[in-house]
Amino acid sequence: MKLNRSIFWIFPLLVLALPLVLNQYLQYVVNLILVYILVGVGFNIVVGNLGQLAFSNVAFFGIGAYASGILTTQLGMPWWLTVIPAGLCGALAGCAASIPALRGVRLFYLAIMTLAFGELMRWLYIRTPGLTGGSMGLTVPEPAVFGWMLTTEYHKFYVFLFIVVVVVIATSRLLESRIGRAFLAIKNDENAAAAMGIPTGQYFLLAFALSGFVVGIGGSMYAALVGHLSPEDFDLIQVILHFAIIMVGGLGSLIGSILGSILITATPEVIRHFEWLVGSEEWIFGVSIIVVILFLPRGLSSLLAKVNSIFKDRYYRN
Amino acid sequence: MNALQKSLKTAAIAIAIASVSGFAAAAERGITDTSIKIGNIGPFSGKAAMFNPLNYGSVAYMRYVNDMGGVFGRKFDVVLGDTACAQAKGIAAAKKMIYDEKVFMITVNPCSGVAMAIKPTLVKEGMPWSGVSANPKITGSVGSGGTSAPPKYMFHVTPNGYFSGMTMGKFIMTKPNTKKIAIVAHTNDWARGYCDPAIDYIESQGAEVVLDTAMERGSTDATAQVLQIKTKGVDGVLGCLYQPELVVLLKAAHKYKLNTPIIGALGADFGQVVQQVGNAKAVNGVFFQGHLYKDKIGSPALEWGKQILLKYLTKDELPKTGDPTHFYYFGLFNGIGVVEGFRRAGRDLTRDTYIKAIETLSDYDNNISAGRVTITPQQHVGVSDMYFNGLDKDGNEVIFSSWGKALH
Repeated sequence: MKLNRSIFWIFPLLVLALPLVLNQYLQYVVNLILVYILVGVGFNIVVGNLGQLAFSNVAFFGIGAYASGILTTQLGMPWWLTVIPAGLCGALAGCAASIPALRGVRLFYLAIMTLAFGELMRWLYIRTPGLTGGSMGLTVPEPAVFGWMLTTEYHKFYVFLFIVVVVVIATSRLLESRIGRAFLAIKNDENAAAAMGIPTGQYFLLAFALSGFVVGIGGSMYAALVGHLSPEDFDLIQVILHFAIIMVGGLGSLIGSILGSILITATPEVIRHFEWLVGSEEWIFGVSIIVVILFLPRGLSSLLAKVNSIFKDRYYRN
Repeated sequence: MNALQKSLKTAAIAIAIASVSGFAAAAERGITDTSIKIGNIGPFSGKAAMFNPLNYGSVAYMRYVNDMGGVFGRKFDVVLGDTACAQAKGIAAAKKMIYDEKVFMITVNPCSGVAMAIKPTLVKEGMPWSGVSANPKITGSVGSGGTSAPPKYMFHVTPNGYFSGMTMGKFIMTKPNTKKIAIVAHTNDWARGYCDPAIDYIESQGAEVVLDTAMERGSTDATAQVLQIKTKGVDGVLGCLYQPELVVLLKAAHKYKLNTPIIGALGADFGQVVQQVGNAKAVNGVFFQGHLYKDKIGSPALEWGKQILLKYLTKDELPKTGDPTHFYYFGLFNGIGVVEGFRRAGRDLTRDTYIKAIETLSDYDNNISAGRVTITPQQHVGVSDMYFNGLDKDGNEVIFSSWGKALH
């Protein structure tokens, strides 16, 4: 069946009506999914598109969240004004995280260095209690947009949805452009890409910064959603969660990031509805991931791409 | 008017009154004429799942009360919710209880980060909460670790971290000639909730905290911390650590011959720690821990609690081996306080009457805790005192009211 890519607009339009049918609990879960969509989209830029095994994502997420939290609590800024600065802080952290890669560190060495970056940031949140609240955490005031308090999950939803749609479309356009193709060229063969005149260093820096920007905005949304930031929120469990999102969704796939976020965030909540399954979350989660990876090694997005080519990411050729 | 008409009139009035009172009851979420719906949330999965006996202890007490006929004819309908001790999931658990399950109140909730994260929602919704999480900011008023009046609907019937930490400080300071103390703590709000008040107390008594070092969760070695402590020549160590790390610290302290008392916080089970250290010399006369109860676990004074736990919990809810541990009794402690609130609130139950009833708890003897429970509108932390567990040189468990002073 021939479909036009404009059908992608149907999804955000359809979900606009969700608050009419969801209670605040389910709306909260949807909002959390929106946060993790940006986390997945940002993480996929470095891991899926650039092909680098870098796990600094959790640092970008925490930096974005704390940037928003600090700007609202310490400077009294309204939350909406902190979203872009949070993204910029994430982008700066991305530039810093790209330094080992620019120095030629690759594969597992890059993985462990970027993991350490995340842990270093967690140490920093703990050791700067004047700014971050330290171990006791930072309570973030209720978010506001143009003086309108986002007091319910429904209010947050519309603002979050707007941000996510804008960021995902912008990322999609960027990945479909010369920049995205350069990322893919580097992923496929870094030396060949350099030989073709692609300034790989610049693209490494750009990919990490872009990833940091997107995830930083996700972090800012997380701060607004959860309302209390604790260094423990940004530990290795969070890394596993982010990695699961892109592995299950599909490496290098924008649609995959969205699908992965939905599945990974919603699964524990589905389990929650069966009281006899209380405490079984870990093994159900683990088995689900194994099953998806075994039978869909290129993630859920590959399944959709089989249904209709419209769901195949345009920039993804191999 | 004949007898039949009189009877019908009386019946009609009775039905009208019942309808009105039924309507009033129905207006309060989570209550019917025969049930009270309670949300019991805690870490049933994740790295803090070792704390879920706290949840089961409360469940056991409510099942016991149900078996006795309930409270004013209403039985507890307890719904469990997993927080995994993670804030995002904890908020989901709390919101499910409030908006989906429509419970009357939320209880237990170990994990301070989760309690802090759900607090704004609870306050906004006027949802009663009785929890065991340590962070003094949750329910603390001035004088119990907070900076303002306690939130109207949130309370601890147990001590919070502020009082538990203070008691740790008081206990070590009763050891003669104590001048220098070391702190080993996790870098989370739970640990600081205990250790910071302890430090304040120690320093107020003229002693010095010469070392405040971190031990991360998941640490399997405490050599660095123990060697640091040795160089400082301290008179005591406060370990604001969860059970696995406390065991690691005690083993390392013995290995490097630290010879200093180590006082543990309430994040570990005394009996299990002793068992897991597996070396009498490493714990006898060395390891002490806060003890919330009026006597030893397993003593005749607490036998009733053990019987309730064994009778009303399933095999899956009880420990795989051995008797119910300290955390189960901690859960009972919370459950007793919560149920007492319902008894005092009477039949015409609303959230407001419930909180007013809880605030009448004054010097209340719950037959389980070391300290009696007092809750007032200004003070929503019920207990401010506890004893300490330790082992004598022969390895016998002793309950101390202060250093060297056994309860019996």
